[in-house]
Amino acid sequence: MLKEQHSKHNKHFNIIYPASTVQKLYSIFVTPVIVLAVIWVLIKTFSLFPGIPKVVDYEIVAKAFGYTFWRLLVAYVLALIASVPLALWANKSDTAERILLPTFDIIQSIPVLAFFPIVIAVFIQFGMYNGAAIFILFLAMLWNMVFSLIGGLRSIPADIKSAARVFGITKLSYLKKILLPASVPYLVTGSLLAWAQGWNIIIVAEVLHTYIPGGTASQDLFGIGSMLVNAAAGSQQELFVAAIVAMVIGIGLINFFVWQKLLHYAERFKFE
Amino acid sequence: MQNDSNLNDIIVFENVSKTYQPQNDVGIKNVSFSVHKGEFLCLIGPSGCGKSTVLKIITGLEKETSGKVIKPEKVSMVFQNGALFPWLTVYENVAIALQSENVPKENIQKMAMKHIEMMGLGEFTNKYPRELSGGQRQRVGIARALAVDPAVLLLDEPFSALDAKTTDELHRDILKVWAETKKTIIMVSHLIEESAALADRVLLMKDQTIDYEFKITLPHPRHEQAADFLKLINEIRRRFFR
Repeated sequence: MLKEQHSKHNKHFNIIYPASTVQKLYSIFVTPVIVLAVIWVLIKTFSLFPGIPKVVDYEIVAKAFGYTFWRLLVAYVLALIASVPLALWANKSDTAERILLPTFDIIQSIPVLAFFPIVIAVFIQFGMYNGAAIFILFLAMLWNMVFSLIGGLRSIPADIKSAARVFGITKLSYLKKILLPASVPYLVTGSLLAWAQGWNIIIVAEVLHTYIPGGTASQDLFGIGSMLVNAAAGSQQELFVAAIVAMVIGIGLINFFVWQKLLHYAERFKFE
Repeated sequence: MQNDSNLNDIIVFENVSKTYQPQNDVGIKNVSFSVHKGEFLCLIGPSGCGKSTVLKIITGLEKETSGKVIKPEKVSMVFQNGALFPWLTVYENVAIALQSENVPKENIQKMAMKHIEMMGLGEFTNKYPRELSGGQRQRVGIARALAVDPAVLLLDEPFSALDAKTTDELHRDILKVWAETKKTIIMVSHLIEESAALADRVLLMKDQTIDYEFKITLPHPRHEQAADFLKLINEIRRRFFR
């Protein structure tokens, strides 16, 4: 009965989370601010009223969002590819897990900013600015993926593993047909967290000039993160708010069209 | 007890022991028995007696520490909670067992469908395990195990999570399967009534070794209220709780 209701809800992609008091308060106070910001941006972008000059070019803002999204996507795909062997390695034996889990945890706890000497030495020195940003985003995303995947592998019931062995599902087909599908729910939540982390760090990743000795804004990467920072630094309030609105709308759409559907899709991979 | 071993034996255990290092599972000590081709054998005993370990050795999931084991190459197993893969449909769950055996594609479909229909699951071919009842899931587990045409079918407490009515239906199903396929079946159970209702022979395990053997000659179907059935149950029970 419960399960039926649940799937019915999911079919129409309703938001299924019950709202807590904090969430309700949050939406009461934050929603008007966002609505006002959107209206303000619309006025400044399309000169809806005569006499108010158009100061924000929405095409540039949308393009910036697109560039940033592309960087995040590349970093995410790399993090996804790298997380699989790392998680499998840690899952190989109890000994491997005892050694690797704390090791991963220590590496994870190093702030991304601490990797800047490496970023400068390896990427920026040779003019690979996009490489630098993607590397920073990759590091920020990787560990969420790795730990989620390890959690997923650990969640596989012993009898499922036994069944795979009894029916001769071994090696590569064991990875493809058992381990990866069983990890899908954990991979989806891990990916969600990784993307959140990526959006978080995007400002650092794109505004490279602050870390380059004697750097100028011309060394920044074009994207929504650098747009935010440089608009703030240049007192371009309109552009700053427009960039924030673009991020809110963009992330909201991604959440609705990608993550909600993936979370629903992942249900079928869960063990009872 | 094992003097009657002969060419008809499909599985032979001779003084088989298994110790786990570290001790994260129950081992077995000096277990000797044999299983005849086509027999329905039941291993019963209290939890922690090592009966599941015997099955693990037969499937090759575990290797014996000492002793001699003769077993066929192809055995398959029905698990306690079905152990179906939740992301696969009923058909795919059965077919996956055949895919790893290099069976030609058209045969996979034929074999899988044959066993799905044999278990009365024809209309559920494209359903996912979560859409099935516990009994239906266990039937899928049986279809999957039979599809690979094993020499021995192992059942690891397959009915222990089901209600009484479903268990009863599945008992009839498994006896039908046994009659139709003439497979050798070894079932592990902790229920005396269940083992007496199904098996030709019941091996009682206690303290990690075989304690007693009961031969059952009552014909099927066995009526649970019949006098000789109750007598048999009492006999096993006396030994079980001694």
